[in-house]
Amino acid sequence: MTNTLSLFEGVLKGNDDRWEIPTQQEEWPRGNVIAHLLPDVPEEIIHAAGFVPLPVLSSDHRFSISEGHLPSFLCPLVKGPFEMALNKSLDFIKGMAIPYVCDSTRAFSQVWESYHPHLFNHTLWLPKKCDPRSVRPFLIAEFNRLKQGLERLSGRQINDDRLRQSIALYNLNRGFLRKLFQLARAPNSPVTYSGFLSLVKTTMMLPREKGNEALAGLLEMIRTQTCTRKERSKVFLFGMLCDSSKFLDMVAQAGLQVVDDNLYNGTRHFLQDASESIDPIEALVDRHLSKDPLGVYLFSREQWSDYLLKRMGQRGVQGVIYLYPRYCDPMEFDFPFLRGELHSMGIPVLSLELDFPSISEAQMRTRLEAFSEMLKGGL
Amino acid sequence: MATSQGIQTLSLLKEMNEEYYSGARRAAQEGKRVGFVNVFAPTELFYAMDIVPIYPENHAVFIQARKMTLEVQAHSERIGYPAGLCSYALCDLGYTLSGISPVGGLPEPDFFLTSNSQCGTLTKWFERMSDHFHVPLFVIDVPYTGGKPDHEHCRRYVRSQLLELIAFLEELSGKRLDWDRLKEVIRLSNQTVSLWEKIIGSAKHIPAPISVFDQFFSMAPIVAQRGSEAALQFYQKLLAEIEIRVAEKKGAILDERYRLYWDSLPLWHELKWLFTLLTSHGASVVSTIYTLPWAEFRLDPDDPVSSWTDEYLHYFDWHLERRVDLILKLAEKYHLNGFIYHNDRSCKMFSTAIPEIKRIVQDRTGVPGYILEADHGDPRFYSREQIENGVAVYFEVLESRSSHP
Repeated sequence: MTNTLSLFEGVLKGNDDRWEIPTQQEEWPRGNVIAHLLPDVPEEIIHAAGFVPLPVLSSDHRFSISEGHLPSFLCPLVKGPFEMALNKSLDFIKGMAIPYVCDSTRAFSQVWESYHPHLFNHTLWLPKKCDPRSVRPFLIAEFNRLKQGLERLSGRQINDDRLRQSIALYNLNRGFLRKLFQLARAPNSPVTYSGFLSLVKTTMMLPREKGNEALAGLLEMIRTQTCTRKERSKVFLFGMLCDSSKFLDMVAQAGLQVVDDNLYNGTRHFLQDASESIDPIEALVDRHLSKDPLGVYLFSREQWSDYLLKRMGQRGVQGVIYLYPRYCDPMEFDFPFLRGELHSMGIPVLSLELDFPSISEAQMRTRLEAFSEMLKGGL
Repeated sequence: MATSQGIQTLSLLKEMNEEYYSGARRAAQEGKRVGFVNVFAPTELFYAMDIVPIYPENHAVFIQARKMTLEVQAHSERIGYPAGLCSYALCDLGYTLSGISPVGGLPEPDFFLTSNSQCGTLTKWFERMSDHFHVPLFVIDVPYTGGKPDHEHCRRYVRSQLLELIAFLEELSGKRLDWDRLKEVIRLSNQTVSLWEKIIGSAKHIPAPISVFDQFFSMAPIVAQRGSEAALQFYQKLLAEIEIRVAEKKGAILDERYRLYWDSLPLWHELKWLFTLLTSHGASVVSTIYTLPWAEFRLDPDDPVSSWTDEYLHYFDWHLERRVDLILKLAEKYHLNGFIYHNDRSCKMFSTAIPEIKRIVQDRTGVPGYILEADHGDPRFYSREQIENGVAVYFEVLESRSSHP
């Protein structure tokens, strides 16, 4: 626990940004890990089956081995894991769950299965629609299909109590992260948003039992700490994954204060809990359907407008940084529409393709600084 | 050098397509409802309900075939859609913003209907277009099962949405679906599909009387008008001419040396150029995955909802393994001795698995394939010179194999 706590402390302070799978394999019991891509795989089911769920994240977008195996114009969120598999960084996993949420994940799941026929491979058919009336029965059956697949793999049944225990463990984790989230958004907090997002990513990649104990210790440790910072323009990070502390540091240095996000390694990961008092599969389905709008799913213009109005207003957001991974069709399709919605609310938008190392740091810094000046009324 | 031998019936297409679009505009003026739908929509339903189906994908093809891509896409790119998104989508979004259309414009839609069974891009593209026109979007959400054995919850989910669609269309049009009329439309549709199957299947003959390029030219009616008399009559004429060509051993090209497979979408704005290029190497492209879906399926007139459910779940979902199996079957049926895979810059759905498919097919057949890097509509993503060089090298490889078996 002490080691994990010091790791968390280091991540929070920005001293340790290299929490990557290849260097941390000892954290996972060999042969017992079910990896998965993001978003929205119900990890609780994997956990209840006796496996350790591990989201495969890769902030390193330098692809060399995978280039001959996948088209160059594929999203880094799927190319990264494939590169890691080819360079043997994922040799220790027992299986892979891939959520079907877009063309990239759908097509990639086929290639993955073709390359790794010896693994437990499961494509989770997440529905495009999020209207509970038409989707809920299907999604219950679909989450049960994952449960049954894992039961066959482990050779033992997942009973409701066991699944509820996993849900409780994950709820506890989400609760800790929500407390840290409140701290990260406060102007006088010792927790920076950059440190916070790095910490979320770190906890996502650790067994929850270990993470929860350290998070409790960390919250206790920083409970009374304060820090004085200058008042800065409040921005919302809109995107999918942002695990680059280099970028987040640039945001802070440009005079911008992140107060909220909708990222996979941000609020999408922890805002909603699953009920511990109803059928556990139904609880996980309800959690999924209660999540915020996301471009890979189908939400109406009105649903988006309501969401943006509420969320931006709640946080006093002055500007939005629209971060899309290179070659992300859903986010590219949504950009003109969402920018229009935000502009109609008087909120300026800066769009950035977050693709280190191929983008110019200097250019990104300049754009962030110009955006910050604009928000301050200087431009 | 080999040369082409054109099919006369294809000259009817120009008038037929013009009549389709002008007829759609007239029908809309007369008060008929108009739906913008994707190419795997249950067309028979619209004809049975007097709803005019318009296919934005087909409209984009006309834009691209007339080499208007950059002119039209500029309007969508100007408002923030980046080049590299599906160029069909960018063309249609560009049309909605500019009104530029090679077919004289489309009638205003009353609704949009699409499905993610074909690709997820369609749902985003139709979302944005339905926003523009402020009309409802109906999505048939299809679990991606890759055509694997049935999962009852998937069938239930798709079937229930089809029933919702019928109710939605009844409310929109203000009249109940006449199931007897639907049966009659399905009878026409099934007949037309059978003709299409025979037409594309005729390419198994040596020489192939019809090339894949001819299929690309002539597929608009099977997509948009199956279930209509006009489509039936057109394909009857086309098949009659092809049967004569088979009897006369008249090939799509003279001196057919190579019989190729084409994977993925066509290069709509380069059809003539690419055909000429391949013909100059003695290559006839005789088979493709792209025109097959409309040849494979027959609807059950007594239970069309179950048939459409099967279509959505199985026939429009090209999983890697299914594609490989299909290519191997086509290789045998069409006596293929070469494979071209179009790595289509703006179609991730079709392109992602191509390197792996090429590898497996090569392992199984022993015949190398060629990955042609291009785009189905946007000429900025490739150069003709690069393709010419790549194709030349590929035929050298095939030539050396035939010299040294």
